[in-house]
Amino acid sequence: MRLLVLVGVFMASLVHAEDAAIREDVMSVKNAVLDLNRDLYELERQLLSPATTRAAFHITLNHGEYFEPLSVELSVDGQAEIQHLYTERQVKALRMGAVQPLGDLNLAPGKHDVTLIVRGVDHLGQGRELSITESVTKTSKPLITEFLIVDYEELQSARVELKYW
Amino acid sequence: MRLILLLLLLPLSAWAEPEYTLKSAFEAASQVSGQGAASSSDEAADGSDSSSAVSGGETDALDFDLEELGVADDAEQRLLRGNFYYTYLTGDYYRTLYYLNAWQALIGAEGAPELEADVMRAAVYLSLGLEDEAESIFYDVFQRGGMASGDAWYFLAQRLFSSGEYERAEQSARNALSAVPAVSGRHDQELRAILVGSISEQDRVDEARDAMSGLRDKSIWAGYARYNLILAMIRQNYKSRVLEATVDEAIYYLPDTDEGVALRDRILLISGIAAMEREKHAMANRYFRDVTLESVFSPPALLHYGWNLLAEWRYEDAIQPWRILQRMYDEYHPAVVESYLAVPHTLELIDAVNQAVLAYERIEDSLSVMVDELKTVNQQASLGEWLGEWRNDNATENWGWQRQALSDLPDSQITRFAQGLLDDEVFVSELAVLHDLDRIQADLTRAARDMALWEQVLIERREHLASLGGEAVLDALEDKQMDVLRGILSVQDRLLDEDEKVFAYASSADEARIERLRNVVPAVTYLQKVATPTRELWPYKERWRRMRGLQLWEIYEHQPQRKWDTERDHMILRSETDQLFKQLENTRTSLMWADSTWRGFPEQVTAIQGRIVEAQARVAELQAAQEAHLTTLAQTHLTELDERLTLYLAQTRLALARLYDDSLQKNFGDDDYDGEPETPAAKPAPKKAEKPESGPESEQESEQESEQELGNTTESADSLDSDVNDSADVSGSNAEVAASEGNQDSDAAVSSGVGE
Repeated sequence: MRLLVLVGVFMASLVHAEDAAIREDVMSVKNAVLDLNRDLYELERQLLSPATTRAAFHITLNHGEYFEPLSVELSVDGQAEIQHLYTERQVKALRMGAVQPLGDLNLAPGKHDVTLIVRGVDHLGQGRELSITESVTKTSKPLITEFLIVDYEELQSARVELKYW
Repeated sequence: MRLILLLLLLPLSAWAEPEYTLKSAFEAASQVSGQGAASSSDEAADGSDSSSAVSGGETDALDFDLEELGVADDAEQRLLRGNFYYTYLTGDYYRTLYYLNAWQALIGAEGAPELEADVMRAAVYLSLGLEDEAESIFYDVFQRGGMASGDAWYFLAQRLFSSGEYERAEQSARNALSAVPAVSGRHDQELRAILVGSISEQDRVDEARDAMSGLRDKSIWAGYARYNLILAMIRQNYKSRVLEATVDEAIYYLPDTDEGVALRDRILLISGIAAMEREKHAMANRYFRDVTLESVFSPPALLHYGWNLLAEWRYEDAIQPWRILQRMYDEYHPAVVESYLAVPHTLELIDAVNQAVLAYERIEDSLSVMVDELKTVNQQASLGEWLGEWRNDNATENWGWQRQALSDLPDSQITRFAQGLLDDEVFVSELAVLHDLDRIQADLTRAARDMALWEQVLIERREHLASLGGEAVLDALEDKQMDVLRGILSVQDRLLDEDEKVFAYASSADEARIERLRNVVPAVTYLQKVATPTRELWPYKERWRRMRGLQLWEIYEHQPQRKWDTERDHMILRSETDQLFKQLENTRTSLMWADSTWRGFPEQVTAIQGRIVEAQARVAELQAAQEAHLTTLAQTHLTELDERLTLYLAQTRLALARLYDDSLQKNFGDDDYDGEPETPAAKPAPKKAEKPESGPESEQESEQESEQELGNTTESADSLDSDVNDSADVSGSNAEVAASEGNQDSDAAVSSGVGE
């Protein structure tokens, strides 16, 4: 009887040890994959968007009481470059103050006309379209832009502003 | 004048040594490319910055430096922080860690006691199931101290609470509430609910009640907090009045939404079970009666409602909830299965023998079918297909914290049997591990494909650059540039010589005119000699001399202006040629750096491909092990279910045999027994309890057989006597077991989704 109990306990501890080993292996693999993907992402950026031609575009939503974005379209020099459809989760993230990295483009040094069109609904549920076109100058340094969708309290509406560095 | 020209010539002396410039640039290039493509590609096209990149010799973690661009520090931090939170909230975990590293590098470089990135890193690791890393960061954060925003602590508290780390979740929640900047308003109520829930899970009821003060009564989070508080009170056997008041308060304030209704049912269910265990049956009835029929908590509530009524000796009433349960819900639902034997057992208690027999017979049929089906599906191959279908259905889900409810298994017969298994936290967490491995494998496959494409891109870039023949074109252009340079030098020499000329800066027309004027007087003198003039010619000669003088005077008069114009034109020419030279130099630099668009990358790509292959092999191995583990778990569950259903089937058959036996015994005891046993139901006795039949061929044979049957039945009744008693006991105990199992099921169901 004691032998059976001992065997049972031994088997149970073996199973437990095996589970723990699998857990550790899984965690180790997850760590390795995270490191790998971080390196991959960095390599991708270096390969596809060198700093000298990189133009990074960001979108933020300030309050978002009068406007909820559904889609966005970015054009540079009249050519549509980036299009994006928002999910509910992404809009929620924007409302929480997050900054959307819309994407990186490769632009030659010089002046460029940047146009952003944001389609969405206002606080009454009506379809709205916000747009902005501005000329930005790209130097040999990376161009960082931020489109701000801000509420316009006086008109109970929203508008887009552009900041760039 | 010479000084000016020498000054102008100074840059030209540099042109005379182009080899030196190019050589040094190549050396710089080789040094930078040796340090990694990160810095080389960034600085590539900017020749002026290449030297600084070399001297720096470091690859910055940030790909772009906003500080250099004049971006305010807070703007830089804000963008990186915002990018991190965006990717965190939308589940893009690769970028999340990338932005987090960039952000942490930035705030770390400033030496600020900023903990937010560490706190969020712990939250990310915890979300991805990397508990060990999260734990080490967590301890480090508490040891170091420092500042982090309320939102960061809130995210960490959320993840810790989900992971069941209640003590740390409480610490994080308290930090979030006292943090500066404070937690945002949209998270405040949830955070307080997490705080109350964490304290409740540690069974500190009084403290949890105090922590309730910050919650708004009508918030859904107050409902979740009260639910956890009620659970703690039940565990602690807290004062009944307070518990009942808390329950009443909780269900009163809950909002009239789907979520509110489900939570209300949940609270009523656990409160009812708790009241039942305390033998407060009237109160338990009230709780169970108020549960709606619209939530997942309705089946266990109906089951327990029946048991509670049974405990009050209200047999006929007890049958009703079970009948509703069996009519409204799937016959394979664990609660429905548990209610199968309860109905005929109760019918027996109220002496409704015929009804009980009919119910037992129906249940026997159902259980027989279920057991047969269960044996069919409980095979390795079937379970493998079942898991495979589930894996395909969840192929679009992310891994980590953004994955959705993974326990939504495919609509199949196995899932119907495995409903109880899906409430098992161990099984669901193992499923999550397999899902994570599947997603990781898919990501690795995609990364391997990307690497192959990038490899091709690099080859094409290299070939394209080679096909341009930039080196030869540049060499030809440099030859032309040298010709131009020589031309300019000769022009400069001519300019230097010009000052020494009599007619400096005179035009060729002026010189020709002077020459012609100089020849006029000798020509007149010659004409005088060959012919006799009719008049005096010296005034003419004097006039031409004066004309020449005038011409010379005009030349000298315009000399400064012409000299100025010439020097200006020369300056402009120098400026243009300078620009041309600069452009040529930039082109040379660009050509040189063009190699950086592919140089160094193939090695990196190859290294990463090796890592990918290695990771794929490890993940495949773990996938196989995890799949086998899950199949074993499912098989074990189905085997246990099989055993339980077989036990119920045996009990059903024993109960039927007992009822028939009782009926026979009763008929034997009757004085007016006429030899034809009165069966309690129209249907003959179940075949399983019968012996092999031989069809009567005549009445006599039939009577003999009838007598024989009766004798056999009597014998079987004797032999089964003890079994029947056991069966009755088992049936009774089965009811208790079923009740307790139902409790366990419902408890599991209740505790599995706390705070979700």
